[in-house]
Formats: sequence, C-alpha cells, structure tokens
Amino acid sequence: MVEPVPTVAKSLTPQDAQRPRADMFAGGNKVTAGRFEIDLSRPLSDFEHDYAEAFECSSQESGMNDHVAVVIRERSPVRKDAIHVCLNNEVMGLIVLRAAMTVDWPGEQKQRYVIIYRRPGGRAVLSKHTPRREPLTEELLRRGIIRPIFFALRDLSDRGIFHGNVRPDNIFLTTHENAEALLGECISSIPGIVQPIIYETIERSMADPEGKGTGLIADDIYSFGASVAIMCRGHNPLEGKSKDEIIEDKINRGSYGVFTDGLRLSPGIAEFLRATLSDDPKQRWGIEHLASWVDGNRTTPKPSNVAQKAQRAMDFNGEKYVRPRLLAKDLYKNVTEAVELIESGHLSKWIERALGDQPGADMVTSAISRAGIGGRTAGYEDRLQCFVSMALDPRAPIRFKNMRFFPTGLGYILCQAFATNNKDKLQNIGEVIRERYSWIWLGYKENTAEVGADKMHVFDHASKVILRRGLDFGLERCLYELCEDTPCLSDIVKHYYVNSCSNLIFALDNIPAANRTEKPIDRHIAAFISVQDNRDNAGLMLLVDSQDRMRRSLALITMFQGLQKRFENPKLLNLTEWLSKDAEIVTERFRSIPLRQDVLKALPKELKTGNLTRVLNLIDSPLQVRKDENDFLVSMRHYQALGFEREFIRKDLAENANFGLASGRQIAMFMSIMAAIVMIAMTVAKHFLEQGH
Amino acid sequence: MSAKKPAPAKKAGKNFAFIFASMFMAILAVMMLPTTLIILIGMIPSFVAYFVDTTRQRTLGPTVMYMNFAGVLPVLLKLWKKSPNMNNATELLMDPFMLLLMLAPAGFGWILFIVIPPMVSGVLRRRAEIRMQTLENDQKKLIEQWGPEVMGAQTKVAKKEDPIALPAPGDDLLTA
Repeated sequence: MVEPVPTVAKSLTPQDAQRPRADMFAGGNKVTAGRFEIDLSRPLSDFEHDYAEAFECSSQESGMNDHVAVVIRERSPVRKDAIHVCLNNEVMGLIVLRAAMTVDWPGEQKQRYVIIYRRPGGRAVLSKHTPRREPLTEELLRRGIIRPIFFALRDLSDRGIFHGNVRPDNIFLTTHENAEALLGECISSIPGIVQPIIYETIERSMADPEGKGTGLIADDIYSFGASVAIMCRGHNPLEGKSKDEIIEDKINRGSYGVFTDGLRLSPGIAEFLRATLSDDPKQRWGIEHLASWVDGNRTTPKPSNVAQKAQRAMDFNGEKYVRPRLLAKDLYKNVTEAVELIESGHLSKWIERALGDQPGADMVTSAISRAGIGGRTAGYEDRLQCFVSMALDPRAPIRFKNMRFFPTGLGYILCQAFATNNKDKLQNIGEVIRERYSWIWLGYKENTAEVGADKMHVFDHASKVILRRGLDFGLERCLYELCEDTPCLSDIVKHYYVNSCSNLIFALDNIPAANRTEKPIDRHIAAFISVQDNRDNAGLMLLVDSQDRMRRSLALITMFQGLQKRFENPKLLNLTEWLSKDAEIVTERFRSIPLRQDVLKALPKELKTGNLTRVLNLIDSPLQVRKDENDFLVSMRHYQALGFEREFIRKDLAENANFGLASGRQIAMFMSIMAAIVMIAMTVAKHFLEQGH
Repeated sequence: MSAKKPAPAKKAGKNFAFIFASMFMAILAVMMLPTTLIILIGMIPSFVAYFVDTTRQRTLGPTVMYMNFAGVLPVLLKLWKKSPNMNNATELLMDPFMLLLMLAPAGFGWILFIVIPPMVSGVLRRRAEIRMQTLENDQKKLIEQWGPEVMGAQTKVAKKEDPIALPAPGDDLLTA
C-alpha cells in the first residue's frame, strides 16, 4: 500500500497536533520579538509546515496583526542566503521579509528562530485544507498570477536565489479585481523539503525531501508551470497517487502530458505550459524566454520528448522495465538481483541492443569498472548499484543504500541525519563524502554545469576533512562545510538556535551552571567555529585537542577570547566562569608556586569582569611567563649544585670511617708541640734561675 | 732525559750529608756517653711510638716525642749540673722520680694522640651533618618555591628506605 503524495505542502498531522506548541508553554499569549509582538493564540495554518509554526504578529508601528511570524521548530536550518537577499532588497512579487532573529521563548527556556513577514493581503490560491477550487480564468492567470510571480522569480534569479517553494498554496491572491499574486516564503525550510513532488521536476522528485539540494531557476520555472497547470484545472490531476506512480507517470507520458491531460487551453497558456513543463532542462524555458512570453511575444516551443524507451522489456524485481530511467530509479530496491543483472552483462546488452544506445552502454561498462576498483571489498554491491544507476540516468540523484540525494543536498541530508541521530545514515553519508561520489556524479556532462566551481571545491575539501583526525574535523566539519544554513547542532547548546559565532558565545554565556558540561566545546562547536569564524582557528583547535591539559585549557580560553573580541561582546560572565577551571589549569604554567598563588588570588577578580582578554592578560603575560621560565632554570641549576655537594658530604660520611681523624691527629701533634715548648721553656727558665742563685 | 740527569748527583749529595751527619752524631754520642745514655733510656717511649705508628700521616711519633723530650730535658740539665759522668747518669736513671719525670710527659703525649682525634672527628662529623642539613633545607626551599620539577630529570629519585634520598615527585615535601 503506497502512501498518496500530497498536492499541497503537508499540513499538521494529528501527531503534530500533539506536539507542544509555543503557546502551551508561554507564560502569556504574546511573545516579543524585537519591535514585533507574536500572538501565540492566533496560529496561521497557511504558513505552517513540518519545520515551522506560524502565528499572527503585530509591529509596534501599526499595532495590528498585519504580520506573520514563522517560528522554526527545534533547530531546523533556515536559508541564510535568502534571508540576506530578502532583508536587503525588495523583491517584487515576493512576500516581504521584515525581520529574522532568535527569540528567547518564554516558558520553554529555549531559544527559537523567528522569521517575520508582512502578511499577504489575500489567501492562498489553493488552500492546504481545501485542495480544490474553481479553475482560474486565463485573464486572471496571465495578469494576476504569471506576471507578478515571474517578476519575483526573475528578481530572485538575478540575485542567485532558488525559491523552491513555488506552488499554489504558497501563492497568495486577494479578491480584488486587479489583484496581483504574491509568492510566499522560502526561508523557513531547506530547499524542497516541504515542496510536494508533484511540483518538482522528475529528477528532484526522485530525491529524498531533504536531499533535493539547492536547485536552479529552471527547477523554479518547472514548479511555476506545474502550479499554473493546477490552477488552470482547479485541482491536482495526480491526486491520490503515490510518489512512484507520479514519477512513472511523468516519465512515461511527459510532465506536460500529465498536467494538461483533458484540459482545454488557449494557445498562449499551452505554449507557456509546454515550455515550462518540459522534462528536458535544455528545452525548458529560461527566465529570458519567460520574460519574452510575459511581454507578449509568442514562439513555438519544441514538443517535449518523453524518456528513452527500449524495444523489449527488462525483467527486474518481478517487474518489466522499458525505460532505463525507471530501471535506474528502482535498482536499489533489490541490490542482489541488480548486481546479478549487471555482472551477467544482461544490462549492458539490453542498453546496447534494445535501446540502441552505445554511449549509454559504454557509460554503464565504465561505471562497472569504477565500482570494481580495489576489488570486491565490503560495500561493493551497493557501490556497483549506485554507479550503474548514475550511468543509466546521470541527471537523477545519487542513489546509495537508503539515500537518494543531489550533491547540493548532501549537507542538508547530513544535517537531518545529525538532528535525528541516525547513525546508519551518518555512516553512509561518511562513505559518500569519503569516496567522493559527488565528484563522480558531477563528472557526467549532464551535471557539470549544475554546480559551480566553488561548490566543487567544497566537496573536494569535505572528502579531505572527513579523513583528518582532530576535534574540528570529521563528519561534523563536513556538515558545517556542506550546509552553511545549519545551526550548531551541539548538545551543549541544544536549547539555543545558534547560527553564527556571535550567537554561539551568547548561547554559551546563557547556559545555567547546572546544565554545563565539563568544557564549553565539543566536536560540533569546534567544527562550527572552524567554518563560521572568519579567523583561522586551526592552530588553536589542534591545541584544544592536545593531550597536555595546560595547553588544551589555554587554547580554549584564547579561542573564546578571540571570539569575544571579534564579536564585540565585552561581558561574558557565565562563560568566563565556565572557563575558570581552565584558567586555573593554565596557572600551572607558572613554575614559581608563590607566583602561581598570586595569580590564582587575582584570578577571581578578573573572572568577575567577564572579559576573557583581561583573564588572558593575567594568566598568559609573555614577559611574566619568560621571566618565570628563566628563574626556574637558574633555580634548577642551583638545586643540582646543592644536591651534588650534599651527595659528596654524604658519601664521605658514609664511606670514610676515619672521617676527621687525620685532622684530629694533626691537632694532637700541634697540642703536643705547644705543651712541649711550654714545658721546655719553664725547665730552662727554672734552670737558669737556680744557676743565678 | 736531560731533565733527569741532575737527580743522581742530588741523591748522592743527600746520602753524603746523611752519612756525614750520622758519623758526626755517632762520634758526638760516644764523646757524650752519659748524656747519650739518658737520652736513649728516656726517649724509649718515642722510639716505641715511632715503631708502632701505623697511621698514614705518622703523627704518633712526633706527638709523643715532643712531650717526651720536654720530660727528658730537666734530667739532662740535672746531669750536666752535677757532672756529666756515667755514675751520675746511672744514679739519675735509677731514680724512680727521674724516670717518672721522663716518661710521664710521653704518656701525656700518647694520651693526646688517643683522645684528641676522635674528639675532633666528632666535631667535624657534626659540622658536616649540619652542612648537609643546610643544603637539604635550601633544596626544600627551592622545591617549596618551584615544586618537584626543580629537581630536574637528573635528580635521583631514591628508594624510600634511603634516608638521604631526595623526595620523589608527589612526596609530602614540607613534612619530609
């Protein structure tokens, strides 16, 4: 039994309804977010999805609930690039972003990320809750929908932003006669994760929701076409179908055929849909073609090609396949049979003979050879299946074990795996990064243009950092390198939404003493700092990971001191207190015990200032350290000299039984001489005195 | 070789002086036979002391001799005062008081040799022990100031039963 795919972005399920909501915890029903006030008693289901709640919101200026606050659940990533663009530019036809910030959530003792938009005037063209409506008239479509949404997409495209959430329930339209639609938000979730696959291209719909990655303007144009087709019809023609059925339908009949089947379309709209719903990205209109159409110019788009079809079917996993794309999609479902099929040569022959595709057969042969490099080691079968799937359908996502993702989605899929602590998935992603599967995918000429050189450099870098030992390397580092949008997923800051180093030190400073770990750092924080901080902390990280506890503590304090200085946060009382133990350890660097005691005595005063620079000046003064070291060396030599003398005397006393006797005899002789002289003198004197008488 | 050449001549000269002095002394002894007799009898303790002295410095002989001579001198003066003939010499030698006068100082010299060296040795030993204690105290002060690390790598970490051993790292230094 396959689960039908939703037409609109998934609304809250009954389980979701049980999930604690902000208003249940909040002391009151209102939360202040900067100059806005979020009304928790007025949820907005049109803006909600699996990764965010939405509430009405008022600004201080208006005092009315004319804003929408989208509150991110837990620590889901938000799109920093889109925030940056939308906050600093007015994008025509796009919902207006007013603010994006972290907010201390009352009651939960948590921090949540809040995105505030000006509330669109109308309602969603196709509501999440009533996915059927009267078809829109061609006039309204052209003037009210296609034109403004085109401007929005063009502006976003000009600024290099992929929207990823173009669908009827994210397009808002007032009932006003000359109303123009407004495209909804795309910031509160990673690209494509909440986008139903009906609006995705065949390739993107084959990927896992979190593995779709950042798409191109061509993908937004496809979603735009699909949305217009559904608005023309008033409902989703594929409603109730499973994900596999939708993909098969699109491959077998072509997207245009699927969306327009049974629709009466004017030539203009038909041209628009034929061009935007083309399954061949090269045939699909770009933004310039779209602009030309919006301006009233008409062309004749080429009829879209349906996928390649074989003359005879291939039996696999109990089913018959005539299209290599579908076979590639399903190979992972029975890896053992897939390996037999590949190794027996049946697959290559089928491509060569039934499809008449010699280049395709060569690509498969090359993929088999690549999988066999290093022999039939552990994981060979999964590797073979992955590589052959890639060769059969190069534009499709990478299919490895239980994952289907595009290289640009690797970071997001890694983020999800960390967030759900899915160890198997983490292991598999590690293998993908280490073995550079993304590079293999990008090696196919169909994909080379998909990703820029800078991103390719990131994949290359990730394959190196995953192998390096160290606190700030490994899979955690890959996460923050590959997914710049992800907040810090450290358990230490689990109650905070940390998306910058500035936020990180703020969060660490706010953690109550009872919740503190031994040190304010772990692998996630180390990797996060290494990627997010604009200074190179590699040297300090190496020391933070060292076996020498003194060096470790000093490096830790120095690193946070640098962050405090760079992010101009002069008072970090709690973080400084947290680092007090480390500061005490650092005082062990002083060889002189009295000096150490003096420093320890002065330390609490400096810690109370919350200024790590002052703490560091006390415990790491270069002059003092050098003087102490020199004095120690002198004292050590003196100690040894004393020891040598002591040992000499000890030996003399222990080994010489006649110690001092020789001197005693000399003294005895001297005394004898003196006594004799006295006696002789007296005798002589007496003799001469007697002679005189 | 050339440096060694004068040595035999010097030795020969020394030997000649010794032979000459010996001959002179022998003639003198024969000429002054009563005096010689008193000296020979009175200085017997000195001869014995020289003979039994086995110490390296050979200080027993001189110690006894000086005192012995101081005792013999009054007897010699007495002899020379009366008349230095054999009868007077024999008479003096037969007088127990004179014998005591000659031998008692020699005995005192012997007593000095027996008593003084151990006393001096004791004093010196005590002084050495005090010096050792001072050195140990100085070392302890250094350890108090710098910790056991000041002992350095070359420090002998001795067994506990060795009373003069330096404290091992971790020992209670202040009560050691």
